[in-house]
Amino acid sequence: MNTDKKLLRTLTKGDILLAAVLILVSLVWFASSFASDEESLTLKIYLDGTESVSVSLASLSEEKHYTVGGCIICADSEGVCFEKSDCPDGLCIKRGRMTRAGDAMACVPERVVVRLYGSDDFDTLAY
Amino acid sequence: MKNKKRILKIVSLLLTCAVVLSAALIIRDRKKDFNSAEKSTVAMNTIMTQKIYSEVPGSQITDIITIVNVLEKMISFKDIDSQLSILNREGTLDNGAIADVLRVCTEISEKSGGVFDVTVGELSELWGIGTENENIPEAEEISSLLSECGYEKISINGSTVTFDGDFSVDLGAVGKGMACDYIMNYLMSSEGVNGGVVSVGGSIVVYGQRNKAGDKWRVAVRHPRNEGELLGVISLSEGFVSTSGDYERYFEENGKRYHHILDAESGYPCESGLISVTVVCDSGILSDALSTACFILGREKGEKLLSEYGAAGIFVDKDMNITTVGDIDFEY
Amino acid sequence: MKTDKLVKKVALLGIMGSLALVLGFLESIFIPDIPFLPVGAKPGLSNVVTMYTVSVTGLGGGIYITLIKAAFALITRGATASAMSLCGGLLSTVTVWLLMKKKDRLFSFVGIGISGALMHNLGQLTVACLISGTAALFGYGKYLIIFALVTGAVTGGMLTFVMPGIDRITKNKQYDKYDKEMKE
Repeated sequence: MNTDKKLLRTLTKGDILLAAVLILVSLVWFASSFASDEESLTLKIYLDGTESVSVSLASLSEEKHYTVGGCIICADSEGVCFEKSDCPDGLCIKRGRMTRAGDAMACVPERVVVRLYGSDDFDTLAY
Repeated sequence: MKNKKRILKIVSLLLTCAVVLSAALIIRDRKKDFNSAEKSTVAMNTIMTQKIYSEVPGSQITDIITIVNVLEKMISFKDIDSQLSILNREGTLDNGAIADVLRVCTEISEKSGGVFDVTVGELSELWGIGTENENIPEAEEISSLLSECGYEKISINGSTVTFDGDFSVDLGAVGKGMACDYIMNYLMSSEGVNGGVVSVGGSIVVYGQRNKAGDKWRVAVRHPRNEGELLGVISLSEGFVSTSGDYERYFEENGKRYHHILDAESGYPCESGLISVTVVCDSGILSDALSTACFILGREKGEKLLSEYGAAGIFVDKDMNITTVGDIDFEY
Repeated sequence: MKTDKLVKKVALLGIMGSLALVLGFLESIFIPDIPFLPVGAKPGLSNVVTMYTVSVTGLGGGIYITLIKAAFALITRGATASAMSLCGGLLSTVTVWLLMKKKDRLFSFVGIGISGALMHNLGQLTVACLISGTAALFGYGKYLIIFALVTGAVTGGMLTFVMPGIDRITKNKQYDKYDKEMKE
């Protein structure tokens, strides 16, 4: 048989090394893209038009409370809602929880706006 | 071997070319974007979100907030010092802007056979939908208020508006669209603005270009039933988008939904079989008014009304059947 | 005799070329679109043929197979597919040839198969990005690396098993040129 014996050996050290390198590279690639888009929702809270809170929901391992103006806003890795407010109508609390990119809610009397930004493919939402 | 070295050189040359080309493409992709800034504020009792693409977007953003606040002061139904409230109290007013918008509204009232009517302000207050006072009024209360209303009772002479009856006009149905018109005028006359997209409580105005490639704007439409989902996305290069639906403000009693869009003929929330109407056209007031009017009229009459104004639209009925009318680029 | 060798070479190439086309054709019919990968991505079983041909006849034979596949793609699927096949195929064939040629060979057929598959995908992606004018397609890269790893290993493995049998059938004469190069 003329085919080189080395070629016929099923796996060489080089093969294993190559496979390992490739798996590593693709894992790193996956990890970086996962962290930057996919589920990455950014929460922004504005008071009177000025941004006062900006945080990535994914970074919240547990519930976190933000006090902005006269409102207490509760956020976790999945979504955000108004928990308490000094406003007379409580409509903001009644609005409930918000989980999707592009969504927004506000406490009008307190002039607080809460928005979720994501990697969604549209410029604005008509409703 | 010489041969091998040559091949190696060629291969590495090819690879380098591939890498360089890809890098060039990536850089080119990035450079497609203009400078821009975004801001969300509370305006006109709702959320206004703007993204302006220009060299110095900050000044435009501030200007737009001012414009909308000034407009709000003029047409606010609740504010007793607003020009609109003065008109509602005194029964007459000389104001060009209000005269213009009422002219459009009465025209649409006429064309819709009176089901769309901004003179039912007090009736809306009676229903109180979306506030703590929401309730089902007595039939007598409704009919007595209705008898006072009527778009025919508005006379407009140049910039003077006169009411011939005891009713109040609520511009809530078209106020946001009006703001969008003002914003469009501002953006068109402002220096150095490449493009902009503003949402005033869900009424949208898009102007100019969002990037150097001239990609169209993508305006998503909320799904009328499934929270957090989209109905679809409209692609347009410039214009106004408004949506009316039975899901924005409503309450339910005895398994029936009472939403905030009243049929001015009956005095009750309309029952046209539609749950959402979206209109795209070249005027903000029109897109707001038409979306409300078509929602009340139903699909058949709504389609006719839209074609009279050369507008396009999306109708969604109770069974989630989606129909598009006119020249519109909607993916769903 | 020289003509004897040439005739055998031509015959071999003829068979290999058709085999490559048949494998490619069967792939396109029976393999559905794979999730996360661009539409039309296939395991590339015909690379077994290319690898075998290169090991027996050297670079020239391998390029011949590549050209045949690209021409077939041009006729059946159009210019875009052909360009992608050609670029990916050339890059892959040259890489395979280099790896098989090296005196201190790093890889077995499995490693060579993986490398060939990787380069093939890289070539195709590059052409696709150039044609569509956007670099966004390179985002598929993370999935394609794994895909190339798997399919390359499979084709390499297949060749490993099949090689002894083919050796016995074709006997040694085709290897003369290759063996001579190896000794240098």
